[in-house]
Amino acid sequence: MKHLRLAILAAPILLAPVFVASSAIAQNQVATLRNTAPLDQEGEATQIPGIVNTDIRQVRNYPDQPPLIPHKTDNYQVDLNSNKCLSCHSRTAVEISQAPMISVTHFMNREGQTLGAVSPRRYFCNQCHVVQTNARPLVENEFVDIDRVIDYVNTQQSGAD
Amino acid sequence: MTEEIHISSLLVRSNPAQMEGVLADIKSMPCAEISQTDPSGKIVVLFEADSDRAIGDALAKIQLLDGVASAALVFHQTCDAQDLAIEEGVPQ
Amino acid sequence: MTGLTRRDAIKAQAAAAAALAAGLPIPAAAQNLVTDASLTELKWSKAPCRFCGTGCSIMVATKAGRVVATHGDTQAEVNRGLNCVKGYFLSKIMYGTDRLTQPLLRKTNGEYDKEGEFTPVSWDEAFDIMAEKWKKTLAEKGPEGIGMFGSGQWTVWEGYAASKLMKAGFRSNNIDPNARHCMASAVGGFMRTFGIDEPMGCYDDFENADAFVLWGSNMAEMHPILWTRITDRRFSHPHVKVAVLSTFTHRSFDLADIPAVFTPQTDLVMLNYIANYIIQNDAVHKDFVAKHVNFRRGNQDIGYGLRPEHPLEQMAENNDKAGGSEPMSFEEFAEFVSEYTLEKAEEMSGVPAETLEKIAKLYADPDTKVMSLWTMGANQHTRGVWANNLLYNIHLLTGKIATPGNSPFSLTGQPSACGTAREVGTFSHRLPADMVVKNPEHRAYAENIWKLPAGTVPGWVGSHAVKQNRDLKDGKINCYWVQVNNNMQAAPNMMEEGLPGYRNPDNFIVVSDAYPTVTAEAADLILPAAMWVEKEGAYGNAERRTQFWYQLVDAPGESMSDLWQLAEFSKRFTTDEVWPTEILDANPEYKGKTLFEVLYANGKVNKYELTEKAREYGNHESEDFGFYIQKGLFEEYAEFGRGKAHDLAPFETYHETRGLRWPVVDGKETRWRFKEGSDSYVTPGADYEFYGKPDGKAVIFALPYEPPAESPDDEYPMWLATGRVLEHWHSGSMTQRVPELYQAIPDALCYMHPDDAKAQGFRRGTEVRIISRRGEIRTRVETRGRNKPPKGLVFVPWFDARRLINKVTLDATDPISKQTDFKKCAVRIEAV
Repeated sequence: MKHLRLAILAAPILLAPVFVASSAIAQNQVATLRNTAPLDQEGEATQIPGIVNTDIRQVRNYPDQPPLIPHKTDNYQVDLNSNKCLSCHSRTAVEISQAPMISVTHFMNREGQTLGAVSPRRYFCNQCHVVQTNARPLVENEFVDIDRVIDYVNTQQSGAD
Repeated sequence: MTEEIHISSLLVRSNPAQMEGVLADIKSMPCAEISQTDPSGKIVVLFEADSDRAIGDALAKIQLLDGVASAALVFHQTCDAQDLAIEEGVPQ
Repeated sequence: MTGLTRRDAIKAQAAAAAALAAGLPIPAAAQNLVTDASLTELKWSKAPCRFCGTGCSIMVATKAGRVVATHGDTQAEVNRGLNCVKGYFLSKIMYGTDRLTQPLLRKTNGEYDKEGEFTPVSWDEAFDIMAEKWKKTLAEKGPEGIGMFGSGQWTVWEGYAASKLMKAGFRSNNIDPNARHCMASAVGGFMRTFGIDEPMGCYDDFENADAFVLWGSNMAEMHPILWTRITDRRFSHPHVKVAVLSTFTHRSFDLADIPAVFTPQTDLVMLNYIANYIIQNDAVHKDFVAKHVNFRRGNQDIGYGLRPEHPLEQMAENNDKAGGSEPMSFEEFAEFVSEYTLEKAEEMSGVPAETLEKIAKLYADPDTKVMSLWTMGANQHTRGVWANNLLYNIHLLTGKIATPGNSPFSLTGQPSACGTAREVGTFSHRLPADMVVKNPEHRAYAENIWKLPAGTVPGWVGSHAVKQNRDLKDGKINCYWVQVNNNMQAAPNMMEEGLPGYRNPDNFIVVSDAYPTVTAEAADLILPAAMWVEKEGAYGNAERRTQFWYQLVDAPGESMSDLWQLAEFSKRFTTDEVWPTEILDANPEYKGKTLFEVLYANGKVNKYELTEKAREYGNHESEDFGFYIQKGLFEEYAEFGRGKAHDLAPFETYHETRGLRWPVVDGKETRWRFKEGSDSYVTPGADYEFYGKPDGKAVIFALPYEPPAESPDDEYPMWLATGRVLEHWHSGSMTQRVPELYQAIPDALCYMHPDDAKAQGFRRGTEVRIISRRGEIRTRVETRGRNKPPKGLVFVPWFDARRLINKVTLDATDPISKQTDFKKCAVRIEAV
């Protein structure tokens, strides 16, 4: 089991990503994001995808990544007058909402000093935190997170694992 | 039938002078795995078994090993074997 | 591909719990908490963000040759630890599974064929066919027959190397950056009003202004980190007011004290009304105006930058002298703007009179420091230069300029539109440091720095972006190289101009990119490019800040940086093949040399040894060429600006700092130009000096409202505005490959007023065709989205390669700046 997993994990690091799936074959339509529609035509527009509303938190790619929003935010008012997100995610609201509290960094001003309340520079949540639709990605991404890179380094250092 | 998998860890305190022997004995047990050791005689053991009884038996066996002062269960979790298998892509 | 399995996770948890109980270090084998420093240690390095013109600094973590994390740089003044959602996902932009890793040439039966299929070839074969095509065209048509389209996303030295290769090597000024679509009107505005490019103020203005006025800009989505600074200022200082003007309601309106939705093109009316209000209400700063300002009347009826045979061009009186103007007096100017009354402004713009007055008062009140901000709304405009000039008018009339918080601020779209496109001068009419190819003295100056014979740089103005596509279609340009941009998706009127141009059988099109974009698919040869931190680079942001980064990881496969590609290609040509005999006869020492030798191995660019480069970072170009090429190019380039108000610091300084704002004089950056005390170029005692102009005075221009090139009518009853969204950068070639960003907003939808939708029987999600006189796309109706157009207007973003809205847009440009108006054309919408 462990061998198999390591082999899979190491793959993207060891192998240079190859050009699309059918890389070896000559082809005309290389613009992956167009789903093979010729440039002078437009394919059918896919349905507007739904918003993921499971409330299940997703693993972050790295600690500094802003968490994704696992619920709908339709008609949330976030403007000069009020911030709907804070009604669940503020320091004082989480006991009742059981939502994650906004992180301590959000209380810091430009100079890194901690304020008594959320820093206004963090006021518009959707500049960093976004909902997710259930659209299937058009292209896979081969980013590997630090745990898997460490695994890889580990196996390199300890020889055959 | 739903199969279960039990994962647990124990903290073993052994006589440092006899630790080598203790480690060899634990390693010979089918569901045990040494996670960590310390020259002071402390040993962290991981168990993976299909029932809690198997883990209980193993724990009892370790407690009786020569050179072991104490062995305590620190962590225990039960999960659905099928779930794990699906997640890991093992053919059903 | 899953990471840790749940079984591993539970075991790790178990092991950690026991270790903790025993007072032992948490075991490395526990996987979820590795403490061995040699394993967990990440190498953190700085780099500017790859996306917009804000120029945030990013800390990038690398391990085992991979980027594994990124976060906002707390030491950077621009962003102080913050990123927008795109910036936070920078770690993933290089890892789309379809990265290009080898050159691809269209071939049939092993031979190049325009109609063939993309086939992997070696770099040698790629350059062979390129050189063959280039040489053939140069021999048959001369330098006018080749062209290059670059970018404000080139690094500074890539743009510089490209400009040199084209303008001096191939002696062709047919090189233009995609900044033409983006910042050309801003440049035109600066040059006309001040005689020198780029903002006088800087981002420090955000913390000093009492009022912010957004002219057609949606900073909440397009410049999110600058928006955090405005938000901070607005909430921390309750007296601060924010006015947001746009042709549709968007996220920036969430912070607006004064919201205003106006009819497209009537920004010209509102700006003239404000000038009139300032004069009528005795709010002119008379002393400032008397000492530092001239008045001029600009030519009117200047056309729309369409093809010359278009009726609108036939009718235009001054399209051949669009930039012309003549002097006038203050009184004549007052008379000129007097027709722009409150009533007229309200009627034409559709903005309520009281709102217009509130905005005018912000400018007129001498105690309110005002920052005006604009980007594509003002620039992508058939009167974009005028819009820029009119914005400066109201700041100059009130003297609200070049001091903290008083700031007409032209925001930039791309990360190095300023640094590379503008400062380096990669436009078809420009040379470095604001010089122009038309001016013989400027050419001589460049030839001298470049150590090239007199007469090498041609004096003809090359084809600009939109004209290049027309020239390709007309067969005037036959060899064309596109780098770091996706112009088939970006340029207007794709079906009538762009695509026929690229696919014209007479033409050979080369596209360098990291990913197989729409533009790459339209090409004949695709070259795989190293991107962002796969090469050492430099960018210049909107506040004149130059920032550097090192190569942090290796590019995949055979991909190479644009710089390497340019320099390597130059080795394929000798001067005898590309320069006229008169130049070579007069300068025989240049005979028989390769372009690489005369342009890059010229004793200056190759002056710095490889040993000078940072030891702990790679540098694939320098290692290949055997000298520190980035430093050589930068130092040669910096010669242009030193002592000419464009001074750059020494090369190494930029690797050590979080960037510096030029001019950097005696090691000090300049925050506010043209003001004594903060700009060392101002003559002592002058107080203000607009030294870009010979007499040190800025110009207020009298310019009227003129209608747009195309307006809705019975057949095409709706306005179409296009633009970006927060989560995607430009055409989406990077961000659409990051699953989290893609899933946040996967499709370009047709944002529409619910009443308009209802009137046509559409609901949210109805599939529709958006049709103009030039082309059509299919998408779906969105009536509840983040953008809320007024009745009669729809908004469609252009990040979506499956919905090429540029098939619909009009290729009308500002006749002065040649920048396309992507914000208004006429369409009709039909259910599919």
